[in-house]
Amino acid sequence: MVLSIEPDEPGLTTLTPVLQKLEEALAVQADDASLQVARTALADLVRNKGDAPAEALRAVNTAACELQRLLKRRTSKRVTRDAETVELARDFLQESGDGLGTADEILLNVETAGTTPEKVNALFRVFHTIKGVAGFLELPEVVGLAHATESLMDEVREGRCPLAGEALELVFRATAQMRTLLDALKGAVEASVEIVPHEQTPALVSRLRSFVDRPSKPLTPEVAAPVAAPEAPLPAPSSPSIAPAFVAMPSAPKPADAAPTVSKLRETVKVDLERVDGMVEMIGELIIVESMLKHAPEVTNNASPRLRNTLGQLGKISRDLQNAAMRMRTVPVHNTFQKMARLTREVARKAGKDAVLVTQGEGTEMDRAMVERLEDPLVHMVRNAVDHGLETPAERTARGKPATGTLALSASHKGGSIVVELTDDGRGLQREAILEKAVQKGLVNRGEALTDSEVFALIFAPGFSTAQKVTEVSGRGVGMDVVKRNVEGMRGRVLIESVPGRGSTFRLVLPLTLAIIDGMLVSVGRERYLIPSLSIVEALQPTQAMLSTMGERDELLTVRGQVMPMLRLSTLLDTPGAKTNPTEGLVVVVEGVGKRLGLLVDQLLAQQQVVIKALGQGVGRAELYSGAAILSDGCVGLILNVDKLCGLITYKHRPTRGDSAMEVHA
Amino acid sequence: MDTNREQTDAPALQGLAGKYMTFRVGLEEYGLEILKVRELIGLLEITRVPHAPAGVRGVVNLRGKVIPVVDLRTHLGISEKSKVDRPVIIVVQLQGPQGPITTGVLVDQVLEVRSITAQQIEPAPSFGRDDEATRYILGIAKTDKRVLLLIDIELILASTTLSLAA
Repeated sequence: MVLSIEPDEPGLTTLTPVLQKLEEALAVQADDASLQVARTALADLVRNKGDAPAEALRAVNTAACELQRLLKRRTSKRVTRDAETVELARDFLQESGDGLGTADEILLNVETAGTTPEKVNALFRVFHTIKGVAGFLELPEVVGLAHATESLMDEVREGRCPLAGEALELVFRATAQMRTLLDALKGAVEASVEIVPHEQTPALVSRLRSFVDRPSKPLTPEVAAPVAAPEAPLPAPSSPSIAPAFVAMPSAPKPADAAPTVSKLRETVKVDLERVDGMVEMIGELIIVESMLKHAPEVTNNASPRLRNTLGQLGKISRDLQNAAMRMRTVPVHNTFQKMARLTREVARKAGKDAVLVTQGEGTEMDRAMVERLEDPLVHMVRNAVDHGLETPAERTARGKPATGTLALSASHKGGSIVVELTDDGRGLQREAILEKAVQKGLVNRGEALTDSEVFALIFAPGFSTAQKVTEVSGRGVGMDVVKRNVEGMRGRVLIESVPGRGSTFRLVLPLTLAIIDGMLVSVGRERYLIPSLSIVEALQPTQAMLSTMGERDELLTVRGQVMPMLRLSTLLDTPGAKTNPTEGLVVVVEGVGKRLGLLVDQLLAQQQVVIKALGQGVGRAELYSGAAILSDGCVGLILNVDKLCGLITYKHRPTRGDSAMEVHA
Repeated sequence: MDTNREQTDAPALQGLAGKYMTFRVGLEEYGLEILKVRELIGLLEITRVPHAPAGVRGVVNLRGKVIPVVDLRTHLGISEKSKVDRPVIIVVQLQGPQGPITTGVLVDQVLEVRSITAQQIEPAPSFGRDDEATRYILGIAKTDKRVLLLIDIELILASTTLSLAA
């Protein structure tokens, strides 16, 4: 292979074909900083054929040597898909995923705020990098798509067409398709099977190609023409400046081809998730042992001040260690929010609506496992908001709203919880339509007086949809059911607020982590149970006046005018030795699945954070518990599943408000 | 019917030869395949799990892991009268459909590890009643003086674990 070029090579005419060859080869291989440099040098060289500086030639020479080395390595490795290739593929997937995330971000930004050369270059780089590594990994389909997209971006970069309209749409499509391909690749690598080509790729590639080769190329570049700026009430852009919600993109001008990503990279180490989990678990055990040691009678009764001091220090360090370990598992919700921004755009396009998503608090960190599990519910919420929540542009204009609907997605820490909110400025939940559908489905009886929150809670019923027709986007009625199940699976809650004509807010209240919960330790007889603090409304000592019975068996509790059923934990759990007079015990008012319930216990012992352990197999279904925890004395405490407890209570239809005909199935 | 069963069981009984951990529940001696035993622990505080299936005594903390403890008395039909003050938990590990399952088995006293040859093993008789006790006995091993009942720990645990039964 002709790869070595001497700096004193005579005549550029002989060099040109070599350079072209090199250019081709480099395009497939360039995944290396030095090759990038060489590539730029090469481009300069081709452009200014007349006066080739010796420096550029030297760079080309270095690149050629580099390439040779790379090719050698490749030919020796191509025989088997060994562990190293799999490792490379994994890194590639990770990096490309990040890259596509950046691409999406930029594209959305371009759509609202117009293009700049930096954005175009950044986009170009994303596809270019993918192409390079994919070539190395021998993924022709990915290379083809990346190459076609890159060519289009090149057109834009050279100022031959603006990044708007069809071009923008095509790049959006290409990004989405690339993600599909990479997901498929991920699946194939994980299952060690052959990669099956995706049927839509060739069509898209040829569309990209024909766009690049289109006959009527405008001669004057029109790069900075922004798309018709949407008018939105929220801080959406009305000029080509960058909206505050999308500031991840640095607006300061940067030299082209300098920073590879949009934000400054912090130094990171890749660690297997299993190892981190193992460490977190071990630290959990350490905390328990530390606590057992501190509470051991030998220590509590006659410890010297020095020993106590040392134990205190041990305790502090253990807890710091635990916090540090927990932080290792957290990631910002940024990526998930970006996906939602993309989704909003796609869904809006399919549904024939105009919508933008503004995000807030994307830096909020959550347990990695939770971020993953949050994605599904968010997808359904966004679809629902765009398809059902937002009106069509015409309707919106008729009602005096801006034609473009705005979804606001935010995440924040509140107390011991994470709150994720999705607000739309659409028509709001239609109480009557929901009620009508619920009556049709036999979920409620006609004429029942339900509060707003009770009505809104109906949309979470499986198969519930008020959509007039099933669209590609939604209407099959599986969505909100998924939201509820996923959120409750994370021990969170969904709250809905809605104002007709003004829009709705779906608020997810989630625990900080899946591994630890804040619980109230209560005693019943000689036994102890944990009630998750998230579901506790209040705890009170009942007076005789608060108590009443139904049929002398089922008990009711009236707290500030609100009547709720009361269950004695001792009866429910057959616990011997518990207090029999409710006025001597305490009632913990809990809320789950939209119902309130008083739980009679003997005492509140302590509020504590516990590491949740699975109750495991071998204890039947044990539905009343959501897990177990090791208490400070080393014993196991069961964590009560408040939703299941509240689920024991069912209400018969209530013909009129205030009629307290309710039924308790204990 | 019964004779048929004995015939088909005969080759299966051969497979039962091997090393057993022997233990006592009430006055009877039982054997549990040694390969399934992971460790022995003295009695830890057992947390009762209300509404758990019959035969599940509760859960214990095994070095930070929560494992269930089954009481063999219930399964084998041995009365509570012969209960001892300091029972022992044999921790067994079985292969479940979703990975290993660790469970504690509560017994009165652990005796020894014995080798049982195929010649020593006989099928367990059925007394024609439809009760539980013999359901969980794989076979009977004759030793020097007494008989050793070889228990089917998988079946016992399957009765308390839904996923194991599948």
